[in-house]
Amino acid sequence: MSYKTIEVSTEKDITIIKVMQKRIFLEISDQFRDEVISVIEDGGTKLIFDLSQVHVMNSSGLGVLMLARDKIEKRDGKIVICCLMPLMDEIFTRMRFTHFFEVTKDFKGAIEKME
Amino acid sequence: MKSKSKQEYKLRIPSQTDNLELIRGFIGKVAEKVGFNEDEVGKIELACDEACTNVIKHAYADKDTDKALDIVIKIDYQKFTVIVTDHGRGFDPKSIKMPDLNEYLAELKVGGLGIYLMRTLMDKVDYNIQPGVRNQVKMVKYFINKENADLVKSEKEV
Repeated sequence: MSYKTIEVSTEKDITIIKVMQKRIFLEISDQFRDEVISVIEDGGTKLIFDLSQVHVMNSSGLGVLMLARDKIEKRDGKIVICCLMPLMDEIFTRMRFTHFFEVTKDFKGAIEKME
Repeated sequence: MKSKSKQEYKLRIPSQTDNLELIRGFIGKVAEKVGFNEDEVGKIELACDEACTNVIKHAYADKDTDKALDIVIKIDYQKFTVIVTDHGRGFDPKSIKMPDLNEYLAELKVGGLGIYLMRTLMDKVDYNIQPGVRNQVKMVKYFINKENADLVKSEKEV
């Protein structure tokens, strides 16, 4: 496949995964999962998911976030999700994902949570 | 939102992952046409995507891609109803309950999240399951404001 679902950068010891697709559905969720897992397996214990580009994500996409959380927490690491768009914010609230993930409004807040 | 006379829209499509985008487009366009705002359209599209994904992944287990998936949208003055029908492997609807998300996170039972999401995003979700014969998921969104929808939801849950 010619495009990537994520862009990866680092800031100090923090890995930042910016999800580049507006919509994560079954069609690309396997690719999304493989790309995320490959980043996590490269190491690091501090991970920020920047979801500022994501309008909507179905359960297969949400499952990838859960998988990432599981892998990072097994390493005693920390995961923060930031920049939720309105529908994603509502999904996170209604699904009670906010109980299981640290969520910040903006990227700056996510960095502060890591420091 | 304008008052609505009874209308019905139908789509019969092979149960293939590649067709999910077409299905979301069909449902989203009709929801938009009857006056739902962008946010509500997104929720309806997502709930229906989950229902169809369940059919493709579980009822037909990714194998019977030539089998049909039937989608019917019914609109009346009160509600927007989407009925998804398949003829694959069914499940026991009594076994479906709102899950404990702690368990899902602990055990990574990702598949069950779709059902949870459908119930969360729509006002009403009903199942009519006859394994191997006909399985139906009926999802309803009322044409009322959010506060009233929450009231309908809480009354339903009592």
